[in-house]
Amino acid sequence: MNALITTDLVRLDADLGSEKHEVIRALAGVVAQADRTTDVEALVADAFAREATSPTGLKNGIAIPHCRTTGVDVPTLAFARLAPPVDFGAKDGPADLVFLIVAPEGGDNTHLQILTKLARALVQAEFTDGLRAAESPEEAVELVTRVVDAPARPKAAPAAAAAAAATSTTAETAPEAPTAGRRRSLVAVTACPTGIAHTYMAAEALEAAAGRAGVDIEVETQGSAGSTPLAPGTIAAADAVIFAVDVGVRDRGRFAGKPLVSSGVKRPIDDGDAMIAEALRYADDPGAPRVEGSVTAGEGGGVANESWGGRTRRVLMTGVSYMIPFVAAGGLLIALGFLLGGYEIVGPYGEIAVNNTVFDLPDPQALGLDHALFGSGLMAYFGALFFIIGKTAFALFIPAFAGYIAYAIADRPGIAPGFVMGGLAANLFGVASADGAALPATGFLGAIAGGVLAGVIAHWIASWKVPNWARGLMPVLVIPLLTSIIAGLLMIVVLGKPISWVMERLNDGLNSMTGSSAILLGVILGLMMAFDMGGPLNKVAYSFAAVGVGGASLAADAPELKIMAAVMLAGMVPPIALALATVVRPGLFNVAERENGKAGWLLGASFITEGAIPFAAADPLRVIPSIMLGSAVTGGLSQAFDVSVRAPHGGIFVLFAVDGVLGFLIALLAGVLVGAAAVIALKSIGSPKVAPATA
Amino acid sequence: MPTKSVVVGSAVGLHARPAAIISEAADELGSEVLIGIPGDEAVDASSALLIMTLGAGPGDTVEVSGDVEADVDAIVALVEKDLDA
Repeated sequence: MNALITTDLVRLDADLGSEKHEVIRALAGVVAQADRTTDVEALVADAFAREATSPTGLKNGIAIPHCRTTGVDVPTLAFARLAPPVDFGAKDGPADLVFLIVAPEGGDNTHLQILTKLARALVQAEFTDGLRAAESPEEAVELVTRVVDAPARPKAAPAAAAAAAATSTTAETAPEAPTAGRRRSLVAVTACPTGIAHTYMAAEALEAAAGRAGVDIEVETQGSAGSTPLAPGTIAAADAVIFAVDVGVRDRGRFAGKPLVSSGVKRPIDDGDAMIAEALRYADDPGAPRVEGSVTAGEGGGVANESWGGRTRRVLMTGVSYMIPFVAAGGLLIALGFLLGGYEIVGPYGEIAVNNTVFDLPDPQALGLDHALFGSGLMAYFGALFFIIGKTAFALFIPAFAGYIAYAIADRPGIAPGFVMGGLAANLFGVASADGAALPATGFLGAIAGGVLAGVIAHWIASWKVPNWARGLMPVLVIPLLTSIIAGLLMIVVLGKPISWVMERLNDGLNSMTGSSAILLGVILGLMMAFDMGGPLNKVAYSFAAVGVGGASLAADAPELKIMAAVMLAGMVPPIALALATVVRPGLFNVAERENGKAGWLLGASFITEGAIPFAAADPLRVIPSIMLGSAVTGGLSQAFDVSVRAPHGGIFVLFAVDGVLGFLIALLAGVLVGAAAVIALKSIGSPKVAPATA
Repeated sequence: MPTKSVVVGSAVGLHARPAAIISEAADELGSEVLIGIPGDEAVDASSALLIMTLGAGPGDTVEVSGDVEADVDAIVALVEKDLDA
């Protein structure tokens, strides 16, 4: 049997004409010269006919004109490296590597087999580079023969074999050829403060960009739904790491030493392709930024070359995101306690918990619990227990806030001293002198200061050069001990009084904010919530409110709880308002937006402001002012109606934790109507093009 | 991610012309669609060359997957059609 390709079927750097039909005719002539065809005209005609159905040019300068013809008896492959290249109808330009594949008419599927083998080789950069570098027809024939004459193997094997063959050949013939033929792989971590929307959007964007770039990527989404850690093998095999985070990366020591591209969580969504390209470039660059530290030392929470502002924000947001679950659990449990036991439960809860059991229920009347649900002892009993559990969760939120601020700065060794500083800030121990004067409780400001102090000191101590035998003791003993001593002394002796003075002024200010100034505050918070829908400004307003809920007194009219209500309501407005607008005037929105609108109802009702992003991204100048107006109305009304809420998240699903349900619903409805009306008005007046385009 | 199995309809399998037609259609879609032999690594359906690496013959089953169901369906329809007819 004749070989598929021989040296007399190869032309290197040949000028076979300026147009593809000339090239095909010339290659048919090559086949004829090699005595492979009895009827060159039939071959040319069949190849032209095939070419007429669709062009055979492929990407990257490859063309594979082919046909089955009565003109040949054995499958034949002719190869030409063209100079100059000729257009074969590929979108990305003319072809310089042309294979004419000719198979006998009828018979078997040899044709397809050759094509498949050739295609598997042609996707390997080594193979095409080798063909472009080949100095003699012999070399080219050898390259191709290794690929197409390889014995049949299981499906995946030919590609691997081809790759291996091509690699070894290019190593001899073209030592400078890039070794980038191996499919590159990346790993990424995405995380945002709430871990609801952006974490997953960024992950999707990265996966899509990696797909476009032809690299493998595995993304660990450190969202609030928990995360599945990347397999250690995957991390080890990765060429580079991408961190797209607004909070600290959990267990970043796993990635130590990998080239690192880091950014906020938003960047992949806008600019995923560039990030993938950057990561691949860093993978080859010994001077690229790398994830610092080592697995055992567990040090260093900071991202390399991160700006001060970005770092501060990330540190605070890490603290807030770990703190919110405490506030949420605590706030909701306290609200449930009130619901079951009535608001008088703040008095006798201790007695009930200590003296009563399910079989020996308390008597609500005797304990003064006039508002226990159904006047029932069972309800009062569980109300008291829920109240205690909720209060305990609340007591931990300041320590958790400080602890995870320190964690964001110094990684795990920062957690313990950070928690201790938070405990001092909350005066968890209840330190008081005999005359009742207590150690100043410095609240969330103290927690920030203490957490930062603990983090910075722990980070500094972790950077000490210590002998090997002491290294294991550093994270578990030396760092927590020394950091707690230094930061604790500073907290009590130096920072305590000034911070508690500031906190008192702040609380006085909030408490005195009634009437018009309270409404103004609601309006401003509403504007902030809607302005960037989950972005920095939104999070500042939200954190301000959520931290307040944790620190608020238990009275329903505590100003912090009203601020939380204004913020939550304002954050619910944008997705609902836009959902309403898509229903009222569907013609103003495209199909994708109408689909988003359906999701908007639930997203808004759950207080996920991010649901408005798809609308705002498509038409920011009309959408953002509209929803800001709606949210501002809602925020102001919420304050005017003295609505308060004890839960820091949950939207209408925490209605039972709301005080002033009617005002809550009115404020929400008003803002939704205003927002929807505004967006409809702006879209129909300001955008004459939209309606006809979608009609 | 929607994944659908489909039998190759083209009389000579997914060789150059069917691959070219499928890849052009995939290029026009808004989302990425993958095509592969079950149990093997799938390839980007917008590359004719990569489709040809599958070596899918007539009557072979291939899997088409992607993020957008409509786009997957579009490619499935092409795969099961005899594009040489």
